[in-house]
Amino acid sequence: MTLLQRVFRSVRNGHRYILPLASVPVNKNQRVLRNYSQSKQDTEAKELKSPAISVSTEHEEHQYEESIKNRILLRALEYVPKTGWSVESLSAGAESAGYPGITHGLFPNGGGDLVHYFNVKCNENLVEQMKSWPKDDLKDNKVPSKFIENAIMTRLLMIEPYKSTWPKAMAIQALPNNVPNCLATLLSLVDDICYHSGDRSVDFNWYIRRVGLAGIYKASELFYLTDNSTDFSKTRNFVSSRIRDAQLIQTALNLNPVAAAPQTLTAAFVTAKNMLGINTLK
Amino acid sequence: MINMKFVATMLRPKGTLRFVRLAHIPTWQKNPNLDKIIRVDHAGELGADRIYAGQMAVLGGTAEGPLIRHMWEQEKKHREAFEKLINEYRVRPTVLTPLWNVAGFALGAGTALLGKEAAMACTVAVETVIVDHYNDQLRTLMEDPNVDKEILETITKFRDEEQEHHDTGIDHGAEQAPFYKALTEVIKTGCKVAIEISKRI
Repeated sequence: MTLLQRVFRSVRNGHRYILPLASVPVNKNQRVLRNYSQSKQDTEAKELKSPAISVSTEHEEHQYEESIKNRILLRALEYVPKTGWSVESLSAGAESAGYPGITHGLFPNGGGDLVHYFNVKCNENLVEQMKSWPKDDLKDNKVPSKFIENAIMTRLLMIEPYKSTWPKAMAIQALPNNVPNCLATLLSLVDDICYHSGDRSVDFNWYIRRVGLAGIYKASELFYLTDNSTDFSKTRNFVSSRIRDAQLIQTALNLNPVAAAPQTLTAAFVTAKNMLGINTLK
Repeated sequence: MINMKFVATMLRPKGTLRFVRLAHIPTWQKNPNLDKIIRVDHAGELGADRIYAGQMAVLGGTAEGPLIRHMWEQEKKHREAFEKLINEYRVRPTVLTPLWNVAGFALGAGTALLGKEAAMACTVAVETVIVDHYNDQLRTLMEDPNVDKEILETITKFRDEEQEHHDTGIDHGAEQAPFYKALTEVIKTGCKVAIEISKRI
């Protein structure tokens, strides 16, 4: 394409759109064009190919698409502090990755997809870090509270660069069409923390630990948003006291029901008396 | 054609919870069925362990005691093997472990109370279903060209031992149990339902 042509077209179509198109071949358009120009015999011949080949190309195509998406999402994260978890950020990210801004159409959930990508990336990052952490205190049979506290804090601090926009992201995650993705990333986060902190349970405890940890994480996330203390010492305290609470609940559940019966009964009677207003211990 | 595929990708429904969660776990990428297989087998061996525990609680002091104890020991080993696989492959154990725990013991103790023949009939029914189930799994696993040899061998070995238990049951008068046909059919159906449930949740 000569310079003259380029200038001419950019005047006609607007400079914004032509530059990325000219510099990067947009694959989707090419595919569509190729498809239109194919004759019917071509498609039939293609269908006759062995299924193994078509599976592998489909896989490659999928990989290709994913890598483009990830590149755009990575760039889009840079714009989040300015324009938030929005289609605008995606659009700006696509442009800086060398695609037309309209490519944000690859992400039908808009900001939801961006938040999901961020969560997945942070989870992977955390797993990498946890692998190198010392495993000394995991040997004993006690709850690895220090390890879990560190894991939660590390994960929370990954939100730091986007802290001002994170409440919006939490709201986006709560939208019905984003809930499955949000839950999935949360579950994979707590599953990874439990696994690397040495949980090897194969019974119902597996669920109790993960659900408990998910609760602790989400509560800490909310606390963290309003924490202005230096070095986030308040959040750290909050996390460690929630872990202590969880340990207390677990000991209470493991208590022998027969041994605890008198206490439970006394508590029930006192509560009943209070409700009836006949408590003598004023 | 390609254009249609592109449109289909655009409209593809978002992955369900399970797919998204497992997408970056290596086992899942290797064989999507492995997750289900290990979970259901662990649940099954847990149930079998509890059935023999129930039988031992009733028939422990009788002449059949040592025989049942021997089978129980084998089932315990199976259970341990699958517990190890669950940890190794990071598979989610089934939600219903507490239920299978109680149901297995109740089935074992209940049939043992009907007499030693009924207990043997229960063993025969359960092991028939389990052997079939393991055979199905082996077929599924064989379809994959780069299958994990360790799992294949484990399941094959366990399948053979379960078959032995089945034959032991027949040899010790399972067919003389009261309402043998009805009893085994009911237990078989129950086991099949439990297997289907444990695969999913």
